[in-house]
Amino acid sequence: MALYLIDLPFAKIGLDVAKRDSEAKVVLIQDGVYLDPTGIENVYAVKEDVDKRGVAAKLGNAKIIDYDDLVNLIVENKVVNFA
Amino acid sequence: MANINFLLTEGPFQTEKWSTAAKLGAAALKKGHAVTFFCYLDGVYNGLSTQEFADWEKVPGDYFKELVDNGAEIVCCGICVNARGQQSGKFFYEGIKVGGIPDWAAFVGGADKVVTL
Amino acid sequence: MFMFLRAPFGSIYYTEGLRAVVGMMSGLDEHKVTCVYAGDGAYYSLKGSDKSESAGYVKTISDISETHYYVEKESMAERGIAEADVDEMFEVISRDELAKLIAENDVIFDF
Repeated sequence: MALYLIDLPFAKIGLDVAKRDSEAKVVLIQDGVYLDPTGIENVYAVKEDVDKRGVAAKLGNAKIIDYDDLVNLIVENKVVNFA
Repeated sequence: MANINFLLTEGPFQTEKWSTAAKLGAAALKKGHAVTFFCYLDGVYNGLSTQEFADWEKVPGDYFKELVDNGAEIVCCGICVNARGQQSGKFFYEGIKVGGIPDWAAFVGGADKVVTL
Repeated sequence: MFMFLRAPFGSIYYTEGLRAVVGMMSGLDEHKVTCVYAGDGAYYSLKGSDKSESAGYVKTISDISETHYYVEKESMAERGIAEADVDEMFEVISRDELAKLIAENDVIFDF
């Protein structure tokens, strides 16, 4: 299973590649939390980045995770960097 | 326990990558994972002990010193260090090393996961 | 696998990324590397773009081991790059093939 770390500059291609992976987990990180997660399955957003930007309400289906959770996801999955 | 390598290519005081990397690294160390950093390009500014910024209680360098104190291995690209006038890393916190990309290749070889920021 | 995603020449990643490839292949572990140019990185595939800065790295890389340089078709199309515009060192692949390469390679770096 692959974990896609997605920041805003590489979001378009990163999300498009993740879409082709049926087991993808997507983590919106840094400015990536400005993205609209609608339609992305298994999507997460980094709490510190979300809180700073005040976008929690716009991240409906995304699970909000802290750095501890993200470390667990990194350890448990193959990491694909688009950040 | 896993071994996680971070490739950090941006410096402090400009983008937040240093903060994401430092905080993820700290969280990983706390969980008992092995953590290595390779600082490349402007990433080599992160380990300087000479940073000053009165607005912040802690400057980025302090976070990287803590990482080393807590067991992380940090190597900075020597070519990048000298290109940026850092004179073989003489302003780095103790324990932050200067090396080359082959050191990074070895980190990657030993790592279970690699995160680039 | 090294993905080159940033536009040359506004930042130095296009050539420092290739220096990193050389170092990655030169280490004791003798890592095998694949290079993919996608997103704004696809601009580097243009025939006319100045490759002099990185020519030495490309030469060293090919001396160490046969290495593929792929450029991604969808990124090209989004940027108006035709196959005829692409330098012969690159092979054109689709986004599906990029996804496959990502699945096949152990470590995925973005530069």
